[in-house]
This record gives sequence, structure tokens and C-alpha cells, in this order.
Amino acid sequence: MSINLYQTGVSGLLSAQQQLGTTGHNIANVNTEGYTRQRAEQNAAVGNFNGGNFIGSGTYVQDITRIYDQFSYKEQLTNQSSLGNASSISLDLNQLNQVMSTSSEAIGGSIDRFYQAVNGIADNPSDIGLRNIALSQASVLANDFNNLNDNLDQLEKSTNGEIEQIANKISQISLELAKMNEQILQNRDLTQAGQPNDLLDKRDQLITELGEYTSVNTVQDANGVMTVMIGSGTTLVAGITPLTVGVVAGDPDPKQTQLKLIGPNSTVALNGSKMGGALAAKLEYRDEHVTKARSELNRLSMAVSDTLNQAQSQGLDLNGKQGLDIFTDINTSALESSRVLPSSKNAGTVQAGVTITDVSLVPTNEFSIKYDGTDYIMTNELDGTETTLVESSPGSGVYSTGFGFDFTVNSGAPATDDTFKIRPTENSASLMQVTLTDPKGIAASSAIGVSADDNNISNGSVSIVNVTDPEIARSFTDGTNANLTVDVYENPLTPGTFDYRVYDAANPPPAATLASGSFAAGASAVIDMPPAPAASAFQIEIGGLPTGQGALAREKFTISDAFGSGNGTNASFMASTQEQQILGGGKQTFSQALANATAEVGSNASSAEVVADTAQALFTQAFNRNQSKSGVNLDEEAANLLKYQQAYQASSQIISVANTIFDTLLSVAR
Amino acid sequence: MRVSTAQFYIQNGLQLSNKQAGVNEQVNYISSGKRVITAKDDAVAYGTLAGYKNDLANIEKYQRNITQAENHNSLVDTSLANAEGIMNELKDLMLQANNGVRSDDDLKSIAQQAEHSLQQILDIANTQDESGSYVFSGYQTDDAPFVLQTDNSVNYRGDEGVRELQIAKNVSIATNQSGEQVFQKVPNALGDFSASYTQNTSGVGVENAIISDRSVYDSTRADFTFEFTSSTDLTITDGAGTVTNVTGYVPGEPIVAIPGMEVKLSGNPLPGDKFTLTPDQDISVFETLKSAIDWITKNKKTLGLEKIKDLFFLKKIYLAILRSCLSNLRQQPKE
Repeated sequence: MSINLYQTGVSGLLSAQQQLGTTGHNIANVNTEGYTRQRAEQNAAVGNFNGGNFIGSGTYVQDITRIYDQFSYKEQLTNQSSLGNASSISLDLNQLNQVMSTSSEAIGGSIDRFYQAVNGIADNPSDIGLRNIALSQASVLANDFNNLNDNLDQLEKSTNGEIEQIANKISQISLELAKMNEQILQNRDLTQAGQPNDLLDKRDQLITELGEYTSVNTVQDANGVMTVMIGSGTTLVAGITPLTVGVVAGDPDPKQTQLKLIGPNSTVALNGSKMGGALAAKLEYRDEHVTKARSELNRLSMAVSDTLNQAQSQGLDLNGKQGLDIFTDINTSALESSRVLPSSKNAGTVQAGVTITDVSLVPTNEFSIKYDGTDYIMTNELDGTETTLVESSPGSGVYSTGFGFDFTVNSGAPATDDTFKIRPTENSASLMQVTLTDPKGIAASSAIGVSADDNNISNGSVSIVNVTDPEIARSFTDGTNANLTVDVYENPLTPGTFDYRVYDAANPPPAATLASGSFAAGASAVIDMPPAPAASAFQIEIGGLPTGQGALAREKFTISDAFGSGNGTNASFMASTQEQQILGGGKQTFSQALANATAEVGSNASSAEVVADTAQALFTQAFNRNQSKSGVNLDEEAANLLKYQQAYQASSQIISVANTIFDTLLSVAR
Repeated sequence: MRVSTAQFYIQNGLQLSNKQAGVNEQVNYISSGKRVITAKDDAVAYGTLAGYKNDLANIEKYQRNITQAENHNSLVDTSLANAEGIMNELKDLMLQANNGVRSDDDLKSIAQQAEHSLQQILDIANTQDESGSYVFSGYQTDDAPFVLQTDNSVNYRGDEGVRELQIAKNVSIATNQSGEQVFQKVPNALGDFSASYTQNTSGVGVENAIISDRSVYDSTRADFTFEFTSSTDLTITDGAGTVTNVTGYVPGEPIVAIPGMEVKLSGNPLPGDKFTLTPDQDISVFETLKSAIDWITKNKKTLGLEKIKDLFFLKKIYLAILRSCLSNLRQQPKE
């Protein structure tokens, strides 16, 4: 008999069995992550040629395949990386935003309360109670700065921890992938079509997981062995050889840890920012956002300290002494040297520091300085501009930068290619302390004051500026010159030019004056007192249009000792610094700078959230596309189950028919 | 599109949790009553809000300062009003003392009263505020600014310091007046000079001596001694000994021989009358009071009848001075 009905029936039974098995497998794995639905590919057996016709001989299962679209899978993988990146940085920035928002509110409040106390002193300078309040508010303020800085340190530390965890995880995945590659290589018989579907799924699942942490690229060879590349093309798994990712201390800042790819024979540095995924997000967060927030904070604390210390030094305390620093001096040697981070690879012996010369000019970004054999070349990390530093005076070792700070080589000699990272504001917030302990030490009193003569007729003004030594200023106007007088009048020959003279009223011209000169309308004259060669203790600024009535009736101003326990002029000045625009080149008050720094973090956080939302939407789309191809649908499988059950039953019917036929044949013969 | 079972559940779960997160966020906004809780909620608004908060804090500061300034100045105001009352009393006393029929005893008691008034004014000038600081001593708030000497004269030990409080971004206001400004700088009723008479037989008096043109007046030439050689001719000798001759003086006309200076006399001078003009723009309340008391106690008796004319004139001056003291006190700013 040429038609083997039995065999046809059996082939149907077997195929239906395999189909049922595959369907069952699908149903069982409906909730398995990364599972790709499988299908038994059923083919009709080639028919037997009989009597000029091909008569079908049943069916067979050719292959059990994964319903897998590598393009939609890769799309999902790419989106997985960008989602990992975006959601990680969004979460982190959200946290930073919360820390900054609450802390800046606290710091802003402390600044307000401190200035309230100083304002109180201006009103009632001899009140020790008010002075005590000002000092305790100052320490609250310093504390707030310390705390916020600690918080940011903590954020950096925990981010470092997370980076290490991610690196470990990547290394683990790398090892597993290599093992998987080995298994796949062994399991697969090259002569057969069948694929180790579930192993492949598992490997893809590992790749997906890896994709969360870093961007991944894969290449599969003819044997099904996968080469995995992370970041911008760094091989992590080469066939059955795994490489691992490790974390090493940063250079020059050990706290900014860096990534290394560790192979069996060599170790290569990895550029973390190009890794993509959560890993790049963590590094970006740590190196850009936290660092920026911290240097804003540092700069603010530096400006507050410096402004108030300077104001202190211009005035006299209750004992008639020059005011001492309220806060830690911004240029202590510890602070100066901490602002320079020499590279560990430096061959030279240079010990350098950074001295702040003008807080208002100091930026928040970093600089790097490289010694090229003859000069120090400074690179601004913000825009990459390079400048060759020039020594202020040969041999001094002081290099002025134009950014409000000097690079100072204290000792040692540089070697070519030595590099230094400069962080001009480093540690200011963490080391901010209140150094003034005596409430009497608050310099509320000004040293000297100007009084205009009653007979002055014009709107000329004389003011005292840049008091560097109030004690000398006071003795100069009180003892050395009993009544220091400034007189000015408009030169009749050259209108618009004002001639001024500074002299002791007890010894008026024609005796020699202390200083004389002229200035043009609209400008002002600034005169050092005491005059050179003595060191200047203060400056007299003459401005306005002091026309006077003539050579005999000049505009007169008397400068005299003003110290007194009831003098709150300098406290008034201190209080006014709250509204002075000091930071950012004289554009921001303290609270504005704080608000700006916080708002910047806030806007970064909110745009990161938008990016994360978009990434989520894109990922969802890719996931859906992939799932619509490869995902298990229980309804579908239920239908299949019935379908294949019926096929099985029908196939058994074929056997039964064959049996009947055979019986009939036998009964004929009986 | 084909939907996998896992996808179905994941999607629904994700959306539910998204909605929950949204509700949670809104509850936060509702319970805080704020639209901007952290900078992330609206970074632009956060910056603006910080600016407003800052402004509010400043306004609060200004308001506090305004209250303080009001308190300080009302204390000054009250003190000055009291002083004004006493000065008025003194003026009455002077008018009484001027009456020719007063007996010596009467004058003595008037003088005593005047001394009491001086003491009262002194007390006012040494007013202390709630924290024990002297109000009229400039920056030297720990020391009493006015100290009475045995000869009834008063020394000022304070300075010219004026404390200022900020009451707006660029506006500061004085919260005290220095004692010098209030009690020591009364405009001189005579003008810019005070006269001291060496010989005065005619009873001529300096009615008014001013610097009329500062651009030509040479302050280094002071003092000026006027001496009449006849009833129409006089010499003016300046501090350096330079002599200027004036002829043809017409009584009542100002003497303008010294550049920039204008002197007006009252009465008809006689040869030998001699007086010196010393620059003196301001005089002190206490000095005036001392002179007034001296005048009362030293009245007619000690000076002799022939000087009565002179005294009448002096009295006129004192009254004028007292008047300007009063006006000075009234003029003190009352912010």
C-alpha cells in the first residue's frame, strides 16, 4: 500500500503533540521576563509519487523558533539605555532639587536674620545683647553652610557608591554572558536548524539588563556567539572571554572616581561620560550637577565671609580697635592650597595655592593649569579658552589670572607637562566658621567722618572709601592733623575742572598741603591718606560738582575722628551689604545668587523629568512593538491549545480510520 | 495591534502608578497651599519668588527701621518742645528784668529763676534714651554731652555724629541730632561776626556784621578792629596789622571798606569808640543763657548809670539771640 495512513496519522499526532508542548511552554512562561514566544514550524511531508501523482504523507515539525524581530529588539534596547540614563538623572536631580530648595530656604533665612541683627546694631551700637545676637546668628549661618555642604558631600558619596554597584553589576553580567556564549556554543549542533531558544532569551534578557546601565551594541557570529560592546564601542564580552568594569580613585580629585575596563592582560581607562545609560547619568550628576551646586554654595559662603570680614576691617570695635574677621579668612593657607589639585602624575615638586583677590569676579567653574616647559597655560574648563599666565613680578611666583584669583607657586620647581586642577571656591562652605567670639569685637563704629561746611553752596561730596587701617585713619585725623580739611573750587580758567587741596586746618595754605590736584566734572578724585610714601590707611573720594564761590570761598569739608560707642555707621554699612550686588561680577546679591543656584538645579531637574517622560514614552512604544511581535498572548495560546487538541484528536481519528480500513480488509479475507 | 498579556498588565500597572504619583503630587500642592514648593516646580517662578521674598524681608527691615527712627525722633521732638517752653519762660524773665523799677532783690530772684531754667535746659540736653544712651551727644553716647562749669558756662563733650537708619533702598534717615547742632549752633543774631567793645562812649552798637560776598572775603584777615578817629572817620585794622582808612561815615549807612564784608552800626559814634569784630557764625544756647544771667545779676548797679544806654542795646541783642535760639529749636527736623 502506497498510502501509509497510519504513518500520516502518527505524524499528525506527533506534530500536534509538539505544538501542544510549545503552546504549553508559552503559557507557562507568560510572566517570564524576556521570554519570547515560540512556535513550532510545521511542514507537510513531501508526498510519495505514485501513478503520476504526489500523494501527501503527513506532516512534521521542522523547527521550533522564537518569534523574534532583532530590529524591534534593538530598538527596545537602545530606548532602554536612554530611559535608564534619563530616569536615573531625573531621580537624582529631583533629590538634589529637594536638598537645595530646603537648604537654600534655611540659608536665606539665616542670612536675613543675621542682617536683621546687624541692622539692630546700626540702630543701637552700644548694646552688647544685640551684638551677641548678631554673633550667634552668624554661627547659625556658618552652620547652615556647613550642613548643606555636608549634604552635598553625602550625595557625592552615595553616587560614588551607586557607580561602584553599577560597575559590579556590569562585571557580573559580563561573566554570565560569557558563560552563556559558551553554553550556546556547546548546545548548538551546527548541522541542525534548531536553536536553543530559551538560552537565547536568557542572554537577551541579560543584555536588556545591561542596557539599563550602559548603552550596548551586540554582534552575533555564525556560531551564535555574541560579542557585546558597551559605551561607544568598548568590548565587554569577546566570545567566551569576559572583561570587567572596575572603579578607581579619581585623579587629581580622588573623590571623583573613574571607571576602568579590566581585561585578563590589561587595564584601560573608560570614559564614563560616554557610557550612556544610568552609569553616564550617575557620572554626569556627580561631576556636573552636584559639583556645580557645591561650587555655587562655596562661592556664596566665600563672598559672605569676605564681604563681612572686609566691612569689619574698615571699622572700629567698641574698644577702638580695628574689627577682626567675623568668619574664617577666605585666604588661609589651608584653603589656598586646597583649591589646587595637582595631578598624581606630576614629576615636578611645585606646591601651589590659589589666593582670592576679588570675590565678585570668581566663577564657579574649574580651571586647569599646565606647565609647558616655560609657561603655565591656564585652560578655562567652561569654554576651553587658554591663557598663558604671566608672573606679576618676576620671581614672586604669583600669577594673576583675571578671574579674581591668583595662582601662587609657593615652593618647588615644575616639570614639563605638570598639570593642576584649580577649583577657586573649594572648601569655602565646609570650612566656614565664626572666628569672632567677643561681641564687643563687632566693628560697628566708623573711624572717621566727613562734615561739610555750613557755607558750602554746591552739591559736591566728599566721602571716605577703602579704609584699610581704621586705627591709623583715626589717629591721622585726630592727632597728626587735628582737623583734616578738604577744600575744592571750580578753576575759573578751566571751567569744569575742580581744584582740590587737602590740609591740616591748623596749618592752612599757603603752608604746604598734604595733597592737591584737580578732577574733571563727572569724574571724581581719589586721594590716598596719609599721603605717600606713608602707607595709605584710607582714601578720600571727592565727587559731584563742588563749584565753590571762588578762591577765597572754597567748598570745605572737614574730616575728623568719629569713633564712639554710639557710632553705628559701619554697622549700617555692613547691613547694606545685604542689598549690594556682589557676586557674578557685581550682578547678584547674596540671596539672588542663592536663588539662582537653586533655580538652576530646579530647572535642570524639571527638564530632566521631561526628558525622562519622553524616554519613558519612547521606551513604551518600542516595548509595545517588541511585545506585539514576541509577547505571549494567553487568549491566543488558549485558542491554539484547542486548535492543536483538535488536531491531535483528528490525527488519532486518522489512525482509527486506518484501523477500520485494515479491519475491513481483514474481514474480506476472513 | 497584537497585545501580549504581559504588556497589557505592565501598561495598566504603569498607568495606574503614574496616576497615583500625580495624585500624590497634587495632594502635596494642596496641603502646602503652594504652587511652587521646590525650585523644580517652576524654576522661573522660584527665582522671582525668591526676589519677592527678599524684597519683603527688606521692606520688613525698613518698617522696623522706620519705627525705630520714629521712636528716636519723637524723643528728640519731645525734648526740644520742652526746651522751647523753657526758652519762652526765659524770654519772659528777661522782659521782666528789663523793667527799670525792679529792685535788686527782684533781680536776684529773677537771676535764680534763670539759673534754674539753665539747669532744666541742661537736663534736657543730657536726655538719655531707654537704653541709657545720651540722646544729644552724637556718637559719644556713653558720656553726658553737656557739663556745667562753675562759672555757669557749659562744655560740649560729644561730637557731631549723626546715626542713620536705612528706611528705603537708597534713603537713610537721621535718628539723632548732635547736641552741637541743636544747642551749640544757633545762628548769630549779629550775622557772621560778634563784637567786643573796647571803648564805647557814645553807645554805638554793631547792629549787623555779615559776609556779603564770600568770593572776595578773605577769612585769613580776621579779626577786624574798628576805631573811630572822629564821628565820620575810622580805621579798620585787620589781624595782620594792615590798616584801612574810612572817611565820611554816614550814620546808618553800612561800612563796606573790607571786601566782601558789610558792617552796620546803630547810634552816632564818638571819637575813640573802638570795637573788634571776630568771625562767629554760630553761638550756643548755653553761652547766651550765661550772658543773659550775667546781665541780670550785673545789672545797673555794677555798671553805673552812664552805661544804661549800652545795656539797653545789649538786652536787645540777647532778646534777639534768644529768639533765634527758639527758632533754631523749632527748626529741628521732626521726622
